[in-house]
Order: sequence, then structure tokens, then C-alpha cells
Amino acid sequence: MAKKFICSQCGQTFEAASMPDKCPICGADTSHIKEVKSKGINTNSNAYTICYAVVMVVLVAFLLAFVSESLKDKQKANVDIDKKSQILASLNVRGLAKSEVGTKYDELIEETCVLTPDGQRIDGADAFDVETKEIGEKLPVYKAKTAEGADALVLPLKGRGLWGGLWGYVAVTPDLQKVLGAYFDHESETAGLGALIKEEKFQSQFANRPVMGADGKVALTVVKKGASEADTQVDGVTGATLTSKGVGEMVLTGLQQYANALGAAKPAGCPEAGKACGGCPEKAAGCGNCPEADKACGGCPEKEAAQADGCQHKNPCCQSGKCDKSGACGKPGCDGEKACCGQ
Amino acid sequence: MALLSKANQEALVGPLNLNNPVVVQVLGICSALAVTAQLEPAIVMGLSVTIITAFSNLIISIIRNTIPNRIRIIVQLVVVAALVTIVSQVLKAFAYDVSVQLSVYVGLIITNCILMGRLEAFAMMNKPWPSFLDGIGNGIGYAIILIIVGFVRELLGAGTLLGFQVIPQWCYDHGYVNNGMMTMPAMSLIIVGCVIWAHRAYNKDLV
Repeated sequence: MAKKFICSQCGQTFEAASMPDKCPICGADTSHIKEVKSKGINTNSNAYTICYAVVMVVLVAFLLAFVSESLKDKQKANVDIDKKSQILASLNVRGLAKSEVGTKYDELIEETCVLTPDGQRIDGADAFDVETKEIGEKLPVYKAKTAEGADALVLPLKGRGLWGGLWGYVAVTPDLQKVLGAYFDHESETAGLGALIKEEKFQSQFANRPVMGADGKVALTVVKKGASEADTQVDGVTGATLTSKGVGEMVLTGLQQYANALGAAKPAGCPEAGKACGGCPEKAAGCGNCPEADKACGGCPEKEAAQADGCQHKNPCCQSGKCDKSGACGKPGCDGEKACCGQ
Repeated sequence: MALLSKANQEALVGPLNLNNPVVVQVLGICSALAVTAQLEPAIVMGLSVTIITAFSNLIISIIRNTIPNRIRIIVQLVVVAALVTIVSQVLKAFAYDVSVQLSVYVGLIITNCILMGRLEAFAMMNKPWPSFLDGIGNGIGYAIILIIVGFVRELLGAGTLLGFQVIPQWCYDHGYVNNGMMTMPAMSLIIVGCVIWAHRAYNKDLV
């Protein structure tokens, strides 16, 4: 193998089989030339390069896996708190400290359910577990009270902005006629322009707007600033036309899906309305001749069964969203859900 | 070797002025355009880049004699990418709001030319401590420019600083209007140009 030499006169290195008579670059004699001894392993050999790459990649992979695993719980907790504070923002509860979000959420959110687009309730599903990307195939609904104490349904929405995804939560009255509050957020809209949809200034415009147009369909949308002709048309953000359009589209199509699923857009007396959100009395009341209305809350068979055994079982149909599964009353007939036992 | 010998001081302070990564070496311009519409993301981005340049410089400098020459760029990339991923994970766990604010830009630090530039030009041939200082110096040099640009753009574009209204309502009542141009990415290029102009006018020997 060729040895490496360095010439101290011209500073160049070169390779040769043995000590040359003179420097091949500048012609200096042997007194200027020194052999460069490589330290330890040759770092340029193929074997070394491959081993180095493999070891490095494996080490880094383990390091990252370790970091990711050890921070997972903290990150999940942060994401949950963030989601809860977004839902609360749509109920006009804003600016809470992180530590207060959890309790306020439990206080205001009464019940959740997940519907299919044709209005069937998915058993045992919690709206909070539905990810943003699944909205549309699944329709999560939160039954809640606003900051002012009014009954509301919080409806999560999903759409597309200029650069990436949009999502939002719109709080409406249980009959889906009036907006009570709204919250929107975005993945990567332009800072200072499209990103303004995240600001309260834009979102507060939605409060107290009617949802439905004259034809009974959802008409709430966003239009260019100043071009608003009806109460259902909200001013967009100046300079962010495409983002504003995205929000408008998201609200319009998203709410229409919910309207279809919840039965509010169907003629009065629809049999589905009572069933829609777990058969709560408010919903059933909005549906005059609903055959399910009686059964919806009072006539739940489980209620009687539970009471017969001495457990003060509240109606699981109404309370399932609030159940705390960590403790059970232990009485016979109790299915292990603490909240259902009247505690 | 003194911890802050003359050469080390130069590594730390040089990038703040005469060797500034943005206005003199013209590196990292792309992110200067992207995150400076408001002051807060500019500050956080500057800080993150400072931390990552400092530590990637340190790590590369420690292992510089073992890196096979042919795959050195890939090795540097892996080190930087691993650091960025860790920083982004830590932000998500401990400063969630900030990580939401920076969203994709944290990931884009990997491709920030300042990082690769400093790794190739400095860390590959210097000892760990000077490399670390060089990283901090360049990160801060980058942050300063980002903060200047973010300051001007947020002040003139939205009338706020760090989200607080600073231009009084009185001005708006008398016909002052926010300059919407300032929120466009192109304006940050023009402001960076103005900063370079001022900088060169002051430091004649750079011209």
C-alpha cells in the first residue's frame, strides 16, 4: 500500500510506494520530506466507513427511541390539555392556566358521543378520542354548557387552508340554529395573515350568528371582508383570502354533516332526533312526535335493573360520558361505573 | 489553554458583527424570511438555532478525528437531525405552546445552512471548546438579525410587539394604517437588505 508523505517546503501531501528522492510537486530534496504516519485505523477504508455508519445509526436510533418513549406521557398530557382548552375556547372560556383546564373541562362538558354520518351512535366511543383526521367519517359531539351557562353542542370541524390543515370547534345551540362560540386553529397558515384565524378577534365574530339559511340548510360561512350580505356571512381576514375561504368551506360543509346526522335539518318530528345524542331530554323535546322520546331517558331498562339491586344507578344513557371508571360502588348490579352510582 | 483566550473570544464575538452568519456570510436567509413576521417566533427560533449549533458543533468537534471523510456530511446531518428531533421532543413535553408556535420550523433547522456551514468550516478542524463557542456566537449572530427583522415587521405590519399593542389607538384614529406589506415574506428580504446596507456602511472594510 502506498505511504503518505508531506513536503515541508510546499506543504503538499502526496502518496508514493517508498521515500522519494525529491518532492514531486515542488522538487525539494529529501530533507524536507517526512512520512505521515496514520494514527491507529485508516479512517478512509470501506470497512471502517460502513462500520462507522452502522454503529452511528444504531446509536442514534436507540437514543431517539429512548427520548421519545420517556417523554411520551408528558407530551400526551400536553396535547390533551391543548385540545381541552380549544374546546373550552369555543364555549367562550379563554385564557385559562394549564392547571385549570382539566377541572373546567370536566365542569362544562356534560356528555360526549360519536355519531356516524347517517346519525347512528357509535357505542362506547368517547368524542375526545376521535382524532382530527377522522372527523367526517366519525362525528364527535360534546354536550356542554357555555361560560354563560347556556346549553350547547360543541362540534369539531376539519378543513383545508392555504398551506395545510385547519380545524375548529363550533359551539351551537342544541337545536343547531344559533352559534354560541367558535375556535379555529391551523397547521401552517401564514403568520400575521392566515394565522389570524386563531385570534379571538376573528373567532368572536361567529358568536350569535344564525346557522341556517332561509332554505333550512346550513348557510354559515366566511366571505371577503365587507362583502357580507346576511347574518350567516362572517367577515374573512384581509389579505388571507384562501385561508378565510378554507374556514368558510369547513364551517359550511362540516356543520351540514352534523345537521344531517343530528336530524336538525330534517323536517320536524324526525324519529332520529331523540336518539341522536344518547336520548337526552333536551334533544327528545325538540322532536315532537318522536317514538323514542319516552324511551330515551326515563325508560332505560338498565336504570331499573340497577335500582332494583339497591344501587342508585343513574341512567347510564345520559351519564356515560362522565363516568369515572376508576372506582365502583361494589353493590350488586353496578357495572363498575362510579359516576353511575350516584356518587 | 485559557477558557476565553484571544482566539476563543474571536470565535464567540466575531459572528456577532464582522463575521455575522446572516448579513456577512449570507447563510440561513430562508428561515429569516419565514419566521420573522412576528417577534416571538423570531426569538424562539434564534434561541433554538443557538442551542443546536452549539451542541452539534461540540459533538462533531469531539468525534471529528473518527469521522470517515467520504461520509462526513451524512454524519453531520445525522448528528444535527438527532439533536433537532430531541429539541423538538423536549419542547413538546415542556414548552408545548412554543412548539406549536414554531410548528414546522423546528424541523427545518436541520436544513439551516448556518449549521452545516459551521460544522464544515469550523467544527471539523477545531477543538471542542472553541467549536462550542463558535456555535453559540453564530447562533446569537443569527438571532440578532432575526430579532431586528421581526421587530420591524411586527411593529410596522401589525402595530404590536410580542403581541402587545404599542402603536396607540390615537394614531389609528388620525389616519395611521398598518403596513400589510410588512407581513409578506418578501419584505423581510428587503429589511435584511437594509440591515446589510447599514452594516456595510458602518464597517467599511467589509465592502
